[in-house]
Order: sequence, then structure tokens, then C-alpha cells
Amino acid sequence: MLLRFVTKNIGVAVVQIIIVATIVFSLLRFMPGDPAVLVLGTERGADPEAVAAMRTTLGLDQPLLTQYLGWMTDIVRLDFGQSLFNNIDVTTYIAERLPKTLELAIAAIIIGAIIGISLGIIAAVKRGSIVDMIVSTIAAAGMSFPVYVTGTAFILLISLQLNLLPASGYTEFSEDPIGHFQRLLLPAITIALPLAASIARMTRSSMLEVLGKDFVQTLRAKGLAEKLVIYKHVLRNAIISVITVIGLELANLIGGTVLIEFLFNWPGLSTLLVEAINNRNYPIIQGSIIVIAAFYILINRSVEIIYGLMDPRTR
Amino acid sequence: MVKKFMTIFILLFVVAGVLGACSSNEGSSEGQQDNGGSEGDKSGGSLTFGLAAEPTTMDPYIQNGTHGRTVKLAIFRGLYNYNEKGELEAELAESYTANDDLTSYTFKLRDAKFHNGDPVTAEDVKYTFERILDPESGATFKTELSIIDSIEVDGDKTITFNLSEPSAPFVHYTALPESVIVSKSYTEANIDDIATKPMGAGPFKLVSWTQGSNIIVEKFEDYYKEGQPYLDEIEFQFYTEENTRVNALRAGDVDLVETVPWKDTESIGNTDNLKLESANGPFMALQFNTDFEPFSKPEVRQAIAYAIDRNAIINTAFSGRGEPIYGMATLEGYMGYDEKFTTYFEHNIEKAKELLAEAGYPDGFKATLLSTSQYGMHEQTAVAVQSELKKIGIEVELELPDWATRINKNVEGDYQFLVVGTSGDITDGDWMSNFYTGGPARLNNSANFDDEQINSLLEQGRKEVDPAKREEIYTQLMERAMELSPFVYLSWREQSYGMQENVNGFVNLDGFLSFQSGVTLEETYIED
Amino acid sequence: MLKRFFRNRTFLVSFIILLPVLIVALIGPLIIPHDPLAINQNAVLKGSLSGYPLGTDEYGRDILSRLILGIRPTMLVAFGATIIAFVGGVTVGVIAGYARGILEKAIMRTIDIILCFPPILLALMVVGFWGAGVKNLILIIGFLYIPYFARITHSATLQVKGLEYVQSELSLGASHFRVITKAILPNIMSPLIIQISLTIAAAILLESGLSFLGLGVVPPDPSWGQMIGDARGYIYNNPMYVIWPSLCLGVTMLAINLMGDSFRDILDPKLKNR
Repeated sequence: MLLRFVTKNIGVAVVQIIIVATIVFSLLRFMPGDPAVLVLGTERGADPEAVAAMRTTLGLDQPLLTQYLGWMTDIVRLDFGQSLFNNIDVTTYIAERLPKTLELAIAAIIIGAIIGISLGIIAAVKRGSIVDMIVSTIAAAGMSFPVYVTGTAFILLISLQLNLLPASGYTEFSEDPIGHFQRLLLPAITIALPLAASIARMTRSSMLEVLGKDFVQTLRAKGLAEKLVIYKHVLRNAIISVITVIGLELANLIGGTVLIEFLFNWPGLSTLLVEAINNRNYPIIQGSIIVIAAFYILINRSVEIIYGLMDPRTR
Repeated sequence: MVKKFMTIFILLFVVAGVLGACSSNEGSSEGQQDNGGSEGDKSGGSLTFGLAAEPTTMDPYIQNGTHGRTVKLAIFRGLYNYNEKGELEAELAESYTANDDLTSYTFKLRDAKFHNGDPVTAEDVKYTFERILDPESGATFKTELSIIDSIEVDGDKTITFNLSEPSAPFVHYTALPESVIVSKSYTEANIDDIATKPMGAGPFKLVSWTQGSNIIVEKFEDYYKEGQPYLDEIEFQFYTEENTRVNALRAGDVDLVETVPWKDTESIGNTDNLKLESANGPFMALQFNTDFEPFSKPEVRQAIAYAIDRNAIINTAFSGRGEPIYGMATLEGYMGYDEKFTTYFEHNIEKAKELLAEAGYPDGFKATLLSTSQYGMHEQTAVAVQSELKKIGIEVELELPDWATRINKNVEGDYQFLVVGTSGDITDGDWMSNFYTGGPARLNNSANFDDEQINSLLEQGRKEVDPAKREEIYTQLMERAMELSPFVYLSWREQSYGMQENVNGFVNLDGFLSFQSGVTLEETYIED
Repeated sequence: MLKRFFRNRTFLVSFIILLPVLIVALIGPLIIPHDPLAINQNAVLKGSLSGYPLGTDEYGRDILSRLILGIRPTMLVAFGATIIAFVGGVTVGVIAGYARGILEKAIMRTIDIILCFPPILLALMVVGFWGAGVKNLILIIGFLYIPYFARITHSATLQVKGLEYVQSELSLGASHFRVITKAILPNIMSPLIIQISLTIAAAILLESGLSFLGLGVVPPDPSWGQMIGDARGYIYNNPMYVIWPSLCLGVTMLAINLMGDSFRDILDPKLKNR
């Protein structure tokens, strides 16, 4: 039973990824803008013959179906092709940029979770008080200011006025570990704020839900210390919903860091994708979106699998 | 438990703050490294250069943008190149001679080496140009160079180009960054990777190119100019977002940046430890599709030239930097220059309305202006033009797709008029060919504009041997160009490089050559 | 019912903030002191001038007038997209819940796939070939949020359809339309309303994010996100240029989020017993 459940979920995931790939492929071919023209440089017009020759070199003059089938068979072997502008494998690009987005996302999740869960617990425990109101308002505010606004404010304040951290860029951890973290901090915190806000709210409402349950009354009646009740029992039960939210936010982040990577010049997957879109670099666009969608689908499926494991009723 | 969380969090923040404070006291790390020499010795040091984009390719025969050309000119050299004064200077060639009717040019090469130690020979030069002329090649200037009929090699150091027609500007075309010399053996062996593994005979050689991050080049010890380059190493970093680029300069993360946004020029100029190198370079103009009825009439185009207050554009899109062009985009010293051409038009709304009425549009008309949302200066110029033309009754709607789409529409002639920001490629008068030769839509012409007189004058200018007669031809050409105004020139765009106080020797070339300023990297040094 | 809303403090606060915003959105063109498109090249990037209390932008245009007019496209996109998402989502969800079998599976899996695409990236690509502008934004964003409404409606449909009294009504000849309107929809009003407030907030963020990148509302028409994007570069020249629209956007979003919170407080049955 369990195996079938897991296999079915994975099977569904694979089909979804294939469909996403197909949609992306088609959308791209309908976008105006000829990659061949862009490869030849747009500062100066190229001869029509040069463009035609480039289209042949890039394989763009073949019938769509041939291109599609060729690409799909390559994908299955995890060959995403080469960039249209040079012969570098798409997988090289993605392998270079994906970890940087992941690092940013994970750092943000960690910071956001720490802040969010703490605040959520406080608000739940002190429900109805001024503290609760303040925390709830801060949480609402955290979700309300767009990341590009808070990001800009941070850069202005912390980098340019106070000179505490670099304004942008990326250095390899191996070259300069301290510099690496210095550059990671601002973008991670900027993303972490709205995360913390939504995690705090989820934590709060989830804890309130559990606090209202009968077994909590029972524990208290038995004379158990309040701290133990909260942390050992209530939190443990409430945390499941919170973890779900965290998982979903992580999934969203993989493709959602566009604005932050743009602001902080962080060389992640999102900026790779945006540049590729600007350059109509089809193989990179296709490869990146598939990777992003695959992450999204897999994380969602994992959450469902975990849910299914923990609560057999939902299978 | 909550308290534990909070303490951890506060600790993290404090640690980060301490780390931040500790390291920032050391100042900008990359820029002020070991300046090897002292006592006025310029050599040594490494420079971090913030480019506005990552080059898409380093295959030299493709015009890959200012950012690409900057790197290209660090790594390669041509037979001739433009120097910091904007003059043709012999590089890999020592000298040249031409026959009387300018149909044959012979170059003598100097002793020079490629980065892999191979000598630069006439065979390499021949290979370079044959590669450009190959029918399958994507070389940007193939058309201009296609007047080369045959190439003769005489020993290792002499090469002759036989042309199919007389060409006065030929040497200028060899000075283009796209005509730099490549090694025949190296290119043939590396043909699949040539876009990412450039190797030339220039002052710096490629160390590494990390896609999405940086290009690192280091000093080429056997460069043919004694004592140059001064710098040991240059790291080109990519900052596509202009504000991020400027912030990096302010924060000391980089030593030199290109394309300083105009709004930041004043504040950078006023910052103590920073300085600016500014020059008027490319121009902004309007390009017309003469298939669209109102734009088929020269009176309408002239009306537009009279109607637009150039300062409206300069003060808004360019923060007051740059110079208006009320006439032809030509500079003193350029062929055919005459002051009357730079004041051919003036801001005169009444005159504009008169011309419109003459052309048959007393109540104006509707038109769509193509530009792009991807580059602020283009979009802002379009907004300003829209506002100005409203005053003479031309209702303009803006079309602002991304750059790739805008280029597509341009090349296919799918526009009514558009905003263009570009430059001539060479300083010789023949730069006008690219723009004024008649025909159907291509990138740099006014689609479907075709004037016999202009076509003929352009051809004559190319073939005329006598410099005085050439001047006359180009003067006539400009007169006609103003009468018909297939292009309405708006303003000179000021290009600024921003740098730390201690960066010297980098020169922003004037006029059309601003995009080729990378050639001065060989003379750039960092002062202690 | 309405009284319950107004007795909730959070709702009250958000209502007080949002009401003027809505009013200004409606009567905007009547109260603007200046033409928001009028370029004034001699007064660019001023902090505050007589007649221009909030200052001017890089074209010398009045920021106050642009802020006032800038509400409209944002609200248009927010409400337009939400309506499309609501109508589309509920319809699709009901059909899926009713149809069962393969059609249901196909619909729900398609919904999943739409959710797979990071909204901003899909919007980027689609704007790339359809072009920007309010109309396209409403369509794209609306489309992207259909899945959320579809899911709620779908599971509610399944639930309600299985109820005994509904089965008996159906067998007695009640029309499906009746069942939908009288039994299903009222049951999910609460989660739907909450989802509406979430979608409005998300739509505003997405539109402003796209406008920030230059791909949203077409210049020279203003929108708050676009103003922030344009203003970002001019922080040194006129910081108020970025601060005003940021504040407006942030406070409005805050009010919308608080209102959504209050809805959840009032309508969520699980929290009813507090």
C-alpha cells in the first residue's frame, strides 16, 4: 500500500515535469525575438545570410517537432544541450548557479524560521495581550512591504550609510569565507522577513488550535509545568503545519528569488533565467525552468508523501 | 526556549555585525593590493572592473557590445587600432603603403607574439580576414570588408590586400575591434570553444572566465610594447543592474565601472575618493519607417526635428549630461564637418507646425514610437519625445517591449518610428554608409528610405582618392542628409567611467570611439 | 453579520485605511493638482516645491498626482485578476468536483501544473511575448491564481455532494444549480473570502514587482510599483521619490493583510470558539 502510494506520487511528478517542459518549449517558440540575431550581436545589424547560417548552426531551422523530440530525448539522458552563444553545457551553467540560489533560500528559511517560530510562540502564549498585537502587526507589516523595497532600504542603510556590509556581489566561500557570509547576510535577511512573518502567523494559529484541544486541559489538570506543556506537547503537535508551510515556502523560493538576486547582484538561478530570457537563449531557459519546476514539484510531492506517511487517512 | 531562540538570533546578528565592522575597516579588498613598485614606478597592482553586462561571446569578429569590446581590446590587437587621442596607430603592423588608386594596401608587420608564444605572422593575418569573409561567417563587418578581393602573403612579415574597388577608409576598417588578429593554428585547434577561450596578441591574456561571475586576465609578459601593461591583473565583474554597479563603486567593491548612470555622475564627481572620466560618445536619434505615410515626407521629419526641445530629453533622461544635436551628428575634426550642420535646426514649434501643415497634416496625426523597457535611457528618451510631439499635435503611443523583441521589430521593419542610441563605427566619413544607404529594413537604416543622390555620394566618398575632394563630397552628403532628415538626431550621449581616485591612465575616448576605450587598459595603473 | 465585522478591531483599522484609498482610486482624476504626465524639465527631482508638496520625479512630474493616479492600475489589476481567478477557479473546481473520474483528475493535475510555475517567471515570459499593460496583467495574474480557488471549491464540492440531504434533494429533482448555489457555495464562503483577500494582496505584489522590473504598467502611466522601480536609482538625488510610493504600497498592503486576518478571525470555524 505504502509503496504504491509513494510510486504513484513520484510517477505523477515525472509526468508533471514533462508537461511543464513541453509548455515551456512551446511558449518560447512563440516569443518574438530571434536568438540567431542576438548571438550575432545587436549593436550592428547582421547580414540576412549570416543570420540564416547561424539559425542552421543553432538548429533553429529544423521543423519544430524534430527540435522538440530531439530535445526530449536529450532531457531523458539529463542532457540539456548547450548555450546558444557558446558551447558550454547548460548543465554547467545550472550547476554553477543553482547552489547559490539554494544557499540563499536555505539561509533565508533558517533565519526566517528562527525568528518566525519564536515570535509565533510568544504571540500564541501571550494571546490577546499587547505583545500579541504588536507581534501580529509586525508580522503583517513584514509581509506587506515588497522585498524590493526592504532590500533597497537595507542596502541604503546598512551598506551605504553605515558601511557595515558590502552592497552586493558574491565571493566564493573557498576564497574568502568571511566575505562570503558578509555578502550572503543582507539578501538572506531581506527574503527572511516576509518568511518570518508568514511562519510566525502560521505558528501562532497552529499553536492556538492545539492549545484549544482537550488533551492540553488534561495535561494542565495533571499539574504539568506550563513550560513543559507548551514546548513538549503543544509545540510538537503544532509544528507539523508549520513545517508544511516552511516546505512550501522553500519550494516557492527556488523560483521566486528573482527580485532579490537582481537587487543584490547574486549570481543565482533566477538571474541566469532572466538573462537567458533577455537573450532568448532557449536551452538555458528551458533547462532552468525545468529544474525550478522539478524542485517545486518534488518538494510538494515530498510534503504530500510525508503527510501521507503520518496520517494514513489522507492517502 | 523562546529566550534561547532569541539569544541565538541576537548572537548571530552581533557576530555578523562584528565581522562586518572588522573587515570593512580594511577598506576595499581587491583594489589596493600589493602595488609592486613604489617611487613612481607604475607597474604592478590588480584592478577590478565592473562591466555593465557579461559578454555573450569573445569570438572577436562579432561586435559584442561595449562591455565585450573592453575585454576584447585587453586581449587582442589588430593591424592598427585607435589610440587614446582617437588617431589611427600602428599596432601589429608597423606601417602600411597603398597604391595610387587605393585598390591595394600592403602592411608590414612588427615582431610580436601571441599569448601562447607563437609569433604573429602574415599567415595569421590572412587567416583572420579570410575567416571574416567566409560566406558562413557571422562576422559583423563582413559587408564592409567584402571589398577585399584577394590577400597575398610575402614571407612572414608582409601582407597585401587587393580590393575590388578603391577604398579610402580601408585602414579604419582594420582598426575596428572586430578586425583584431587571431592565431591561425590556435583558432583551428579550438574552433568549437573559440567563443569562450580567446587568445590574442594584446597586453593581457585570459586566465579564466567563470560564467555569470567574472573574467580574469593577467599581464602578458611578452607584449610588444616595452614596459606595458602596468597592471598585473584585471578582474572583470558583471553588474547588469546599474544601481548595483554604482553602489559597488561607492562601497569600494570595484575600482572602475563603465556606464555610470547619468543621475549618479554629479554625486560621484563630488565624492572625495572617486572620480569620473566623461566624454560625449554615441548619439540618440529617431529612425523612421518611410512606409508609414506621414513619415514618407521629409517635411514631417523636419517638423519633428524642429518640434523637439532637446533639453527636455537631456534634462530628464540624462540628468542634464550630454549635448543637444540640432542638426547632423558630426564633430569637429570629422570629415565633412561644418558648423552650419550642427545648427541646421532649432527648437521652433511654430516652424514645426507650418511644416506639418505643408505636408498635409495641419491637425497632426497618430503614431507609435518603438523603444524598450529594458534600458532606462531608451525608455526615458521615448517618454520625453512623446511629450514634446504632443505639442504639435502628433499623438504618440509608446511600445516598450524587451530589447530582443525591439531588435526583432527593428530588423523586420515592424515599426513606425523608433528611438535609437548608437554610434558610427569608424571616425572616417564613411561611417554614414551604414546608416544612409537606401533599402528595405535592416538594423541601422531608416526602413525603406532610398535616395539616389545619397547612395551615389556615399559611393563616391568611399572611392575618392583626393582628400580635398572627399571633404567636398561629405559636405554635400550632409547637406542632403539634413534636407531629407531620414534620421532626426536628438543628443550626444555622455558616457562616463567612474573610478577610485588612485586609478590612472584609463582614458575615455572621445566621440564614436568611446566604446573602444578598453584599448587604454594597457596604460592604466594604480597609484599608491 | 456586518456588525460582527465592524466590532473586530483589526477590521476597523484596515477599513479606515482602505476606504480613503478606494475613494481616491475612484475620484482620482478629479482631485489631482497637476497633469501626471506633464514633463517639467526644469524642476526635476525636487524634494518639495510650492504646488508640488511631495516633490517631482526625474521628468519633473508631480509625485502626488502620480501617486493618486497610480492607485488605479494597481487596484484594477488586483480586483480584475481576483475576479478572474475567483470565477475561473470556482467554475473549474465545481466541474471537477461534479465530473469525477478522468475529467476530474485531468483538471486537478492541470491545476497542479499551473502551480508549478513560479508566478513571476511565468509572468515574465508571457509579458515577453504578449507585451505589458494592465489588460495583459489582469489576464496573466488572474490565470495564475485560478488554482487556489479551484482547489477550495473542488474539495468543498466533493464534501457537500456526498452529504445525505444533498443526495436526497437531488433525487427529488433539485437542479444542480440549486445545489451549487444553496449548498456548496455558502459552505465555502469563509475560505473563499479569505482566499480573495490573499489573492488581492498577491496580485498587488506581483503587479508591483513586474512594474518594478519595467514589465507592468506601460509608461508614462503611473503605478506604485513602477514608481518605486524608477525611483530606486534616484535615491541620492531625491530620496522622497522612492519613499512616498513605498509607504503607500506598504501601508495599503498592510491594511489588506490585516483585513484578511480579520476575515479569518471572524469567519474561520476552527477559531470560532475562542
